[in-house]
Amino acid sequence: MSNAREFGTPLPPLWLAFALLGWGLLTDNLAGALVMALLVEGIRYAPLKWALAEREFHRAADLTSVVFALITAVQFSRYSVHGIYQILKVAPYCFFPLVLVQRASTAQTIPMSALFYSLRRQRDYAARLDVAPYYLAMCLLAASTGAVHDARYGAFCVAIVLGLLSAARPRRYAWTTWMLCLALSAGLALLTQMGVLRAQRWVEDSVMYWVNQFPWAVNDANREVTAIGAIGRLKLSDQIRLRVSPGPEVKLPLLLQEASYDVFHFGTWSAQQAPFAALDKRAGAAVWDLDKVARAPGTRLQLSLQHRRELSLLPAPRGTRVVASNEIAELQRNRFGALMAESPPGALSYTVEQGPTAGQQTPPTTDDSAVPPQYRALLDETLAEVGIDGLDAAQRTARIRAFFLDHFKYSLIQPDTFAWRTPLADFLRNTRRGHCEYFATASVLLLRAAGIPARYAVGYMVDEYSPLERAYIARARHAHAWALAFVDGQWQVIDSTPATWYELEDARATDWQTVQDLAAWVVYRYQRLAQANLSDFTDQLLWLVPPLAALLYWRLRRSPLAVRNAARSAGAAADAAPSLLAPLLEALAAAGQHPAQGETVAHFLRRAAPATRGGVSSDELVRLYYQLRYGPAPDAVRARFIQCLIAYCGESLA
Amino acid sequence: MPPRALFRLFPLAARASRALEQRFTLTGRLLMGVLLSAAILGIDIGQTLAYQLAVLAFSLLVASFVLTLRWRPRLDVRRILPNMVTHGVASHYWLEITNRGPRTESDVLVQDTLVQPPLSLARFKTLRDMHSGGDGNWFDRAVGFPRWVAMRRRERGAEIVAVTLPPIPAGATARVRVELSAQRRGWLRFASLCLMRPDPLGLCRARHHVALADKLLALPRRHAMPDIQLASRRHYQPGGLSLAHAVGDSQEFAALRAYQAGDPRRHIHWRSFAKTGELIVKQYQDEYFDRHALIVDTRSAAAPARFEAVIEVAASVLSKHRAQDSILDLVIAGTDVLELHGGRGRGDNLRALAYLAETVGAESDDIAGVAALLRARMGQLASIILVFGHFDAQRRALLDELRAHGLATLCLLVVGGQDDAEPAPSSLAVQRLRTEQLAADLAQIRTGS
Repeated sequence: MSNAREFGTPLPPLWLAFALLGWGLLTDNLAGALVMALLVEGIRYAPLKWALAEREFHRAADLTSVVFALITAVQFSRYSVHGIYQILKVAPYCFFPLVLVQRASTAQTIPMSALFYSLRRQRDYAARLDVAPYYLAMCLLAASTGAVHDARYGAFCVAIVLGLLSAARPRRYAWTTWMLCLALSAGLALLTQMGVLRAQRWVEDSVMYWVNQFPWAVNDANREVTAIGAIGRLKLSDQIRLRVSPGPEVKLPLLLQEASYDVFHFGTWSAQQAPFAALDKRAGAAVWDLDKVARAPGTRLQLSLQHRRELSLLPAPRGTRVVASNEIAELQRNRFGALMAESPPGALSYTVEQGPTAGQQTPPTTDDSAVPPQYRALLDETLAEVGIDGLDAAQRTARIRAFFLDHFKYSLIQPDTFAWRTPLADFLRNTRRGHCEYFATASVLLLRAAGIPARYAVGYMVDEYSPLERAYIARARHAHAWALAFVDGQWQVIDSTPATWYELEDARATDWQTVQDLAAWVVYRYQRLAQANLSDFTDQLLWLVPPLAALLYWRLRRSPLAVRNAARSAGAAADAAPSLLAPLLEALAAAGQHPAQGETVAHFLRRAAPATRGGVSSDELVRLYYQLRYGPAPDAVRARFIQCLIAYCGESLA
Repeated sequence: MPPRALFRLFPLAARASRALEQRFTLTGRLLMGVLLSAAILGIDIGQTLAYQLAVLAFSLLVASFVLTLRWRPRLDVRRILPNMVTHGVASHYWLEITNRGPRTESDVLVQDTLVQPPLSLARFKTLRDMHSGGDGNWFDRAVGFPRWVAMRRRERGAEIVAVTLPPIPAGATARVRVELSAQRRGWLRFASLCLMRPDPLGLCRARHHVALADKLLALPRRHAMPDIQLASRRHYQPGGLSLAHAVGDSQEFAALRAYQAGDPRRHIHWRSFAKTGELIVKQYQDEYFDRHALIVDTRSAAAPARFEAVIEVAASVLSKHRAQDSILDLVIAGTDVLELHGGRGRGDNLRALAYLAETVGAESDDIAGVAALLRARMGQLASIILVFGHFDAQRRALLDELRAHGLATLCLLVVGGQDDAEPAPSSLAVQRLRTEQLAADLAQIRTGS
């Protein structure tokens, strides 16, 4: 709807600066926000403006696009899909040139063709846009990526939106009506907020359960939903998750454990009462000692984990005593020994030191010996077949492992099962084939049924060497599950999955794997380079900002496009001959006064405008207008006309 | 070209877009954009706080919308239209609004609307060459929606700017000027007015439609062109024309005589009839003056852009004709030949332009009718201006015949558009005008006979 009053949403004075400062405060970009706020409001009230042509606006928009594209590429390469929040967080930086150029221009708007490349070819398309309200909205959205538990964000949103609404308030209503409506909206907002929170809880409780069933889901320290019972072929990707540079003493294949669980219920393993607690860092070094007892140095492994979340489980070999990494902000551990590291998403490099013992893990509890009642008969029946009578714990463990290795086969394909049989029963009695989760779960339950405390563990098996990476790698399809049995006073790995599983998995590699590996290697190298040098490099670049800014200011001041505000108003009036009195006519139109058809300016002003205002009579204004309009007038007349027009129109002209 | 299923969705999209524009103020639309963005970005409330912004925007919009559900303004509206407007020339008209309600009405926005003729897929394809500027956009090429919107706007006839009414006290009347820019020739049919007022929060608008039908004629676009130096060859013309004193051997009143069967009734001298009771007619002196013909070839229906250009060229030529000096017969050669006399008191150019404004294209190539008419009139004509949108053997033969008869001819051929492979009429003095540069080409034509 093209209406002069609707040209843009009016912003209260200094509101853009307020929005920028709020965004800076909430996202820890206060210094940058302060500079931008000063620039964007300072230039608005500065006496100097630049008469920019469309070409300059196009250049500013192109610069913005390039900066945005670069930042998008960098953030996506570093944070994958989570990069969208990082891009949003810095979006006010990207689009700042555009709003600054608008504020510095005499037009105070930008042509639409600056935003849409296709419009640049349409010569007759003259629509313009005030980008300030949109930039303000972007600041609001960008500020939402700050700390999640920050109560200031809500207040910030309310303040900004209230300012917007008060500036756009229709004059037909009284302030009291306006405030009453706001109160109504506030009540509605409160109810909606409660509803959203409740809905989110419901989503987390129900829907996420199903989402987690996807095999690519990231492991959770508190819960592991297995694919037991899933029908058809399990599909896992070739994506490289881990890069390992083992020392000469490390034996391969290597099991890297992420988490272990103690309670099994309807195909889901969970860790009961296992909250994470932060570990203390060694003074002056980014090193965490998991085992406080001083021991002789063990074997060292250099690992690099590709992860997508700020908090991620750290795969580590059994017996890990020390973790060292400059990229980990905080390291936490639960009672099962699972390690949770806080670090930016992307590639996380860390070193672990591994000792010969099992490492620090809590002794078994009653949960580690519990057998779900519905499986009791099945397990007793299977144990009878295994034959463990008269054997000690170590022998029983070995017999159970041998039972699986001798009588079961590894398979990623599960046939359809009948509804009255559980998948585990089908696995133990009939099919005797399955993937590692079947083997690990059945092993844990059999061990428990045999009186040996056991846990279910997940992680990766590392056995593939990549000449390109010059390291051992673990792909997503190398994710593995095994049992932990508490024998002879320590937790031992019982991997009962037939050793052929690794070859079977590798046989499923896609033809594109080489290309994918090459791409993954390039991205990984870039991430390492960025993490190592980029922050230092950008810090050094900051020193260039003041002299460059000074140079830019000097050039802009001397630019032939620079126009002073007073000259701008006068120039605009004098250059466009038919609109010499445009400011005055617009002011009268806003007050509901329009010239009748064919009515002369002189007659209209005598009829509709005040006879004298600001010490200037309307008659004199009309006389000067006609002098300028219909004949060559000396500069003195032109200057006098501008003075009179400014005095007559007052603030409305400025 | 869009598939039929997608094409059917275009009106829905246009209606939704229009309703969105009318229903929400600019601030409201901004807040709606914020709501959508924040809802998408804040879907996971564990990642960002954007959901709080979404909730705030949602609540404000819902409250605003509810506050605009009922509005019954007591405003009487009257349109004051000009006689006619011209295609491509910014014009205006007035709305007179009387407030019959008990309180002052302010911040009311008025959007006048024209009847929207339906646009079929077949017509959309036919009109494709009329739409300029949209072919560079990949979205337009693939989907066609922007082009469809532009075509509908053109079919509607004009772009009307919405206006905000000044505060109107109870019982008072205000008059507001509405800007209008005709986008085609022909009748612009007004359907209704939409009155809108914002809600207290300034986000949504209540709407009230007032049915108010009117129509306004838009004349064809004219372009600047040099004066036409038509050949002067005065011929005997039958008498009975007024304004004859202006130029040349003007016909003058000669005498009165008794009525004879077949005399025109308008020649009856009623005053003598009153005196004598006998029918007496006025006898005029026959005279000699210039008579020219402007032939407009309307066979261009397959290429609408070219047909429109033909009409614009004809309108430009008509505008150059000085009605006092000579008679210009406008011959619209379509399926039926329409002949219109102008000049020397037989009608003014405006009337002819109005006819041109309503002319529709003909499907047939046949110009036998107009050829026959010209053969009959050859003896009275000094020169002929032919405006063709198409050149074939029939037209070439007609032109040859006219020239052989010694008539001065000015033949203007409009070319371009989709079918640019027009055979060049090399042997004849035919001036080509390109549709894409019509104004420039028309300004440079050679008008000497």
